[in-house]
Amino acid sequence: METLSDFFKHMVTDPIAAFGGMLAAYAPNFIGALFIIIIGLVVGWMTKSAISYFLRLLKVDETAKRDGLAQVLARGGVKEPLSLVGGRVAGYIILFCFGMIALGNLKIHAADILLENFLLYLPNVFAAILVMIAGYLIANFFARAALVSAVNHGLKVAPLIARGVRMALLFFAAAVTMELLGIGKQTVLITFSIVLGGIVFGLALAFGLGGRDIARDYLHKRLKEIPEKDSWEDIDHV
Amino acid sequence: MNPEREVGAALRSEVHEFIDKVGSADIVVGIPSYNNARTIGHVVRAVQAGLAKYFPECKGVLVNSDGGSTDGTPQIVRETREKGASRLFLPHRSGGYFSIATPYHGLPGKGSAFRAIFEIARKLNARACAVVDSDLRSITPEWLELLLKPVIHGEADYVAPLYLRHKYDGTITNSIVYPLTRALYGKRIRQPIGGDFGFSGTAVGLFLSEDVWETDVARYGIDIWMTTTALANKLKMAQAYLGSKIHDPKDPSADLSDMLYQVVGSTFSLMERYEGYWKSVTASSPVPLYGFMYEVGVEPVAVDAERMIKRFSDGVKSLGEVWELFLPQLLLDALSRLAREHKGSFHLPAEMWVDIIYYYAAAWHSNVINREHLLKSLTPLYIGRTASWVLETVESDPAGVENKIERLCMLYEEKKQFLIEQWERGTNGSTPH
Repeated sequence: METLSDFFKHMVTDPIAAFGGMLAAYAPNFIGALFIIIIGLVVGWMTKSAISYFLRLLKVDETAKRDGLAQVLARGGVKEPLSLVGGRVAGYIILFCFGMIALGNLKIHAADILLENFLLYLPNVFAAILVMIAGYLIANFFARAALVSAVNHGLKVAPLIARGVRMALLFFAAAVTMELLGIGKQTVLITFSIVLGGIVFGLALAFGLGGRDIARDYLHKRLKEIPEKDSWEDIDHV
Repeated sequence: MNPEREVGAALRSEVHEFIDKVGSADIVVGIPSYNNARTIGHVVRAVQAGLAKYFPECKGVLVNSDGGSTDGTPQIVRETREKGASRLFLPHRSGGYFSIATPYHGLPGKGSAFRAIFEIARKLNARACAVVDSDLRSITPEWLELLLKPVIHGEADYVAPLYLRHKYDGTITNSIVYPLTRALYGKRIRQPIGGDFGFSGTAVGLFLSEDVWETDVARYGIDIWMTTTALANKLKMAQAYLGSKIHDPKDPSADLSDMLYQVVGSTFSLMERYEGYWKSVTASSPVPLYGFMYEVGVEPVAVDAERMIKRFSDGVKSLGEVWELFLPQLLLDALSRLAREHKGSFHLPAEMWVDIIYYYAAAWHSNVINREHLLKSLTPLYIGRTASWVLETVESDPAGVENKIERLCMLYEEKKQFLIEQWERGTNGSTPH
C-alpha cells in the first residue's frame, strides 16, 4: 500500500523535479532567445540610425515634402521627418525578425511553423509596402499634372479630374498590394474591373447623352482643324 | 563633354567645304528656320540689301540653319537674290557675299540652329555676327546696320533689339523677363528675348565655350541664355531701335503654359547658374541705344479682360493645394479675395505680382514641387496679372505704358533683398516663405 510519503513524492515532488529538469533543459534555449532579443534591440537601433542617416543623405525629407507625402503623414499624426520614420520602421522590422528567430530558438513546433510562414511572407510585405509608397507618389504626381493642365485648359471640373486620377491610381496600387499580400485576389480584381468599367461607361453615357452638342462641336472643330481660340490668344506674350 | 573639343560637331561636311571655299568673313548673318517658306524670302532679301548697303566693303556670309523644313525653306534661301540694286541705291559691293542653307545637327531647336551659326562664324573668324528670325515681315535692311555697326565699330559686344510693340504685346517680357533680368543683372535690356541680336566674335567664342548644347538651351531658351550669358560675363551691351516687329501669325496650337514654362524656366535656370553674380548686383543702369526713335503704328490686339479674370478666378479656386506648398497663406488669402472681384474692381497689384514671381523663383530653386508643375501653375496668375495690366493701361499712351513698366521694374529692384532671402531659404532646404 502506498504510503503518504510515496503519494507525496509521486504527486508533488516528482512532477516538480520533472518540471525543474525540463526547465533546466529548456533554460539554455530561453536564455539564448533572450540574448537574441537583446542583440535584436542593438542591431535594430543601429539599423534605425544608419537608415535614418542614409535617407537624410538622399534628401528623402525634402522629396517627401515636395511630393506631398510628408503632408499626408502629418495629417495622419506622423509629424517626424520621413527619414526618422523610415529608420524606425526598419529598426522595428529588424527587431521583429530577431524576435521571430528567438521564438524559433525556443524549439516550439508551433513557433517553428509560424517562423517559416513569416519568412516566406516577408518579401511580399516588403514588395507591398514599396508598391503602396510608389503608387502614392505616382498618383500624387499625375493628379497634380492633371489638375494644372485641366485648369490651364479652362476646365471647370479640374479638381474633379485630379481627384479621379488620384483615386484611380491609388485604387490600382491598392489592388496590386492586395494581390501581393494574397488578400481577396479575385474580389479585388473583380471590384477593380467593375469600378473602372463603370467609370468609363458612365463617362461615355454622360458625354454621349448629356453633352451631345458639345461632342458634335468638338469633333467638328477637331476634324475641320479649327483650333479653339482663347480671349488672350491675340496677345504675343513673348 | 568639353565644348571646345566639340566645335564643328554641329556642321555637315558640305559646310566644311563651304568654309574652306570662303576662307574668312567680316560678317556672318544667321537665320534659323523651320518651315518658314512664306516669309524667309523677304528676310533673306533684307539681309542681302542690308549687307550691300551698309557694309559694301565687308565680306558677308548668310547662313540659314534649318531644322528639317519640308516646305522648301532652304531652297528659297538658295534661290533668293535681291535684284533691285539700283532701286534700293545699293553701292557697288567689293567685299563679297556668300550664302549657305544647311540643316543643323543636334537636338531639334533654335539653340542647335544657333550653335551651327556660331561655329561657322568662328571658323570664318567673323568680326561681327547677327541672327534674325525667319518669320519676320517687318525686317528692313536698316536692321542689319543697327545690329552690326555697334559691333563693327567696337562699341558693343552684344546688341539686343528694341521694338515698339502694342501695349498688350510682349506681356511675359514686360511683366517678368525684362524687370527680372534688369533687377538681377543690373542692365536695362528692354527686350532680352527679342529674337534678333548682333554680337562680336568674342561673344561667339564665349557662347561656344559653354557646355549647354545638349541641354534645354539647344531646344528653347537660347535668346535669354545669350543675353544673360553676355550680361553675366560683363560683355559691352547695347540696344538697337528696330521699329515695330511684325511676324507671321504664331502657331495656334502653341500653349501659353508651355510658353511660360520654357521662358520663365530658362530665366530661373540661369539664376542658378549665375547666382554668385546676380546676388552682388545692387542697382541697374541703362545701356547705349542706337537708332533713331520714331513712333510706328502697331497691329491691334483684341483681348477680353472679363474672360481672363474668370480664368484667373477658376485657377485660384482649383490650384490652392499646389500653391500652398510654396506661397504664404497671406498671399493665398489675398488671391482668394481678388478672385471674387469683378471686372470693374479687379486689380492684381504690381507689388503682389513681384512677390509671386520671387516666391516662384525660390520654389524653383528649392525644388519644392516638380518644376514643370510649378511653372505651369503660374498660368492663371499670369493671366490675372495680364487682365489687370489691360485694365490699367486702357487709356495709356505708349509713354504712359513705359512709365508703368518702369515702376514695375523699380519694384523688382527694391524687393531684390526679399528674393535673396527666399532663395537662400531654398538653398538651405527650407520651403520658401
